[in-house]
Amino acid sequence: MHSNRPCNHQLVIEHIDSYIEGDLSSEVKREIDNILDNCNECQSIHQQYLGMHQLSHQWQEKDVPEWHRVKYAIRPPVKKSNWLNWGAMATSAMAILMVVFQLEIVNSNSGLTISFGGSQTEEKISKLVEIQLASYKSKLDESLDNQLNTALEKQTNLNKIRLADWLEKNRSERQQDIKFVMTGWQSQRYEDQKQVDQQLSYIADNQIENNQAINQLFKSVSNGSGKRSHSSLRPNKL
Amino acid sequence: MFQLNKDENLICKALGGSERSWVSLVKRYEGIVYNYCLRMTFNSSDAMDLMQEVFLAVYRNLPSYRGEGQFKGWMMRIAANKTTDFLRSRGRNPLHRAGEVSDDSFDNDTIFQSSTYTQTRDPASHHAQTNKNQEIRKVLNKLSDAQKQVVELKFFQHFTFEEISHQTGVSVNTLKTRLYTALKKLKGFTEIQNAL
Repeated sequence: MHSNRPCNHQLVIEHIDSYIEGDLSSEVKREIDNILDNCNECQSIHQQYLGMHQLSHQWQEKDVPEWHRVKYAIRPPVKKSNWLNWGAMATSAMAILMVVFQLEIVNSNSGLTISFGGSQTEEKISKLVEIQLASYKSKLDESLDNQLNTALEKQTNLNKIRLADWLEKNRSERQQDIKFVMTGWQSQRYEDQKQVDQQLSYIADNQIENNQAINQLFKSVSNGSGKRSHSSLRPNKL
Repeated sequence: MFQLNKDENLICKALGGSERSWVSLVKRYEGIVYNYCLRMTFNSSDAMDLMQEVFLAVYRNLPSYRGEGQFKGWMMRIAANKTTDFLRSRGRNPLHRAGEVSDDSFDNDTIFQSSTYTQTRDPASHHAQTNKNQEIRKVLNKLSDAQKQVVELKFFQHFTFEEISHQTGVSVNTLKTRLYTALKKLKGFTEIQNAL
């Protein structure tokens, strides 16, 4: 029963239990039947499966030895002793009575004084309360003063910083304004100077021409050609 | 199987502090767990300790049991985890030699306490039963702990591969391959051949 092609046993691994249980489709069952006919190893596994199945049923169940089934699981309820309950009740009752009757035990120089009603210590209590209140008040005042001083100091510093900032800003603005005015004034002055120079130059040119004309006139007069009209030899107007 | 008290009822009452319900629940399943532990450890003393640990863990985890699936499956999941831890710790123990099966009271002391024995009182029958268990013990002893667990849960507890996967956290395919390898390893064992 050797197979012609190698078997990877995968189908038997996958379905051996369903095959034995009879839960497979006829197609898969036929395939496995074919494998079991041709693969010795799968056939052997099939036999081992059936044998192990049978063997498991031959196990003789052992009875469990006697053991304490609740010892480790359910904790036994804690027994509360009665004397503790009674003691607690008595203490509670006594405390209630002491409150109701205003029991007071005072240890003074004259000895231990036990009194009911609490009348003897009312003044002391009120004094103590007053002292305590005064102490709280002084502490509160001190605390408020400290907080106020701190806040004031903080505000002053803040103001100083703001003022310094403002001055710095203002100074720089003023410097910028002055610089602007100065620049404008200088440029205006330069323009004016330029115009004056032009006018002076024009006047100087005219003067030169006049001088030349006068010189020519003087020459002509001195050369005896004084018959010419004086009007043509007049100098230019300024 | 008809049960007078369903597991869920017993669990509810046990959680409420009822010792009687807890004991009923334990008695219902202690045989399964004890025999499982016995087959896994081959030692009655270890099996007893392991069983107690399992039930302690079951009790502690009862509030987290939501009634999904069978209680037996949930309990066997705890048993499988406890057994794995136990076998691992025993493997680390130098006093325990690997592969050695302790011949303590496994088949001697405890068998005298078994109901089967007390009912029959037949030495021949007792001997036959002891031999069968020893054969099974011999077969299982050839397997690794992981293979033994699959064989145990499949053949002795009759769980499906899906259930075993849920209990052990191992994938179904790995379990199938592990079972195939285990069966391959047991090839040639006359005890299995004789069982057929």
